Amino acid sequence: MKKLIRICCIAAIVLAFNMTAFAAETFVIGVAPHTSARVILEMYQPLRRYLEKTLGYTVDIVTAPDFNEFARRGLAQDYDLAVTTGHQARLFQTDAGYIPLLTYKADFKAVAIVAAKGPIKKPSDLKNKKVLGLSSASLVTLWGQHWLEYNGIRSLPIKYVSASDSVAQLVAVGEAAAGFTSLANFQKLSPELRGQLRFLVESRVMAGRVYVLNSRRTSERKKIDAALWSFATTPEAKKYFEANKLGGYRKLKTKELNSMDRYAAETRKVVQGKVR
Amino acid sequence: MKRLSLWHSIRVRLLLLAIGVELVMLTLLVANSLRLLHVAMTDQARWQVQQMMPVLNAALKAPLAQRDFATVQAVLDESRATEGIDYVVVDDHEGRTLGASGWQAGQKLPEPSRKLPPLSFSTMQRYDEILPIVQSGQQLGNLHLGLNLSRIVSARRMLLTQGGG
Repeated sequence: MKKLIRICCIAAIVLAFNMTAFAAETFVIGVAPHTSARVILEMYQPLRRYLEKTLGYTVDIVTAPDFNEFARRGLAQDYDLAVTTGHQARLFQTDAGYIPLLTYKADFKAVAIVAAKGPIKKPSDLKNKKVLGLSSASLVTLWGQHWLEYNGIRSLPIKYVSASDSVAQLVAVGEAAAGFTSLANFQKLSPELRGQLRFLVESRVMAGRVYVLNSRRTSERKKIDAALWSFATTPEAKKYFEANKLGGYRKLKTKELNSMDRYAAETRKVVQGKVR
Repeated sequence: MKRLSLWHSIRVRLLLLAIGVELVMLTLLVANSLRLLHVAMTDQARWQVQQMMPVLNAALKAPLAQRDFATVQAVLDESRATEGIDYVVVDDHEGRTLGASGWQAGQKLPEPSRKLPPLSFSTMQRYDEILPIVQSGQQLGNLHLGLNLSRIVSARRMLLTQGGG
């Protein structure tokens, strides 16, 4: 009996110690660098504050210098929760065991933008012209490369710019003939800048930003998932969804991410250094 | 006998009194100048730090949010290009060093110099300050900076020696 009490006491102490250590740790949310770091931090503050309050962890929002680095870090298990485009979410799922949780209701589309009063009227006008993308592992850039190939256009090698607002600025001032960005990021540009641009082409709907949970957090999946859904009902979340035209959260359809396999494979090559 | 008569002379007494008053006045004058210099220099050190900190803070926010520690290190190294800064260190909220220039790894970082005590000023060669790096309410880290005070201290020493001499 004494022995049993002793074992129970030791177990209780070990459990209490582990719980204290766990409560003190930081929950890292990695957000793909679809815009500037400052804007990302500002955008995700309501979520950070809500999760801190609900889950009781210290929550940090972090991003990366570019999509390639973001993918590398995600695969290296740097994030507890990653918010990234469908193809990287699929890569994280297949190669690093992340669990897809949810996505936004708003459709995600890639667009090719050109200067409204510029000389580019049809895809073939881009022949031997400078085209901009976000980075070689970003979904809009990969889509853009496929679109150029599909149309048989040999543009100059795609130049990579760190943020989509910079892509728009450079295209508007004529520094590049065209640029690839997401429709959501295009809609976030100032009305003046949007007025100087137009779409050359718009993609079909693709899996947009997806929330994927690191498998080391599997035991807390229900709690985290519930916290995300309850966040969606708060006024702060509604304001955030409205400001960013995201429409709220929705569950992922079965095998929805599988359509991203082709792009995920290309990102894998980039991350492994097989492509520039 | 002669000395006694000198001491009893009213002229000698007045002369000694005048010299005494002058010495007291000179001491007060130098002490006050040192006090004023101390206040002015302290304000200048604080002002200099207040000018530098927001600029460094702004330069560090994006690389910290991106966890781009190579850029953090480059910003810190460049900020020490002039001789005014002894060290500059960035650590996270758990105290892990994310970048450091002019500071040895593992060495405990100093507490901020809230005010510079006048008496220790001559021995104090550095003004230390800490500023949290915050973006949209999220603390990205802390900026530790040590401003070199050697020029201020040498100015004080010069006033003391030349003002007294």
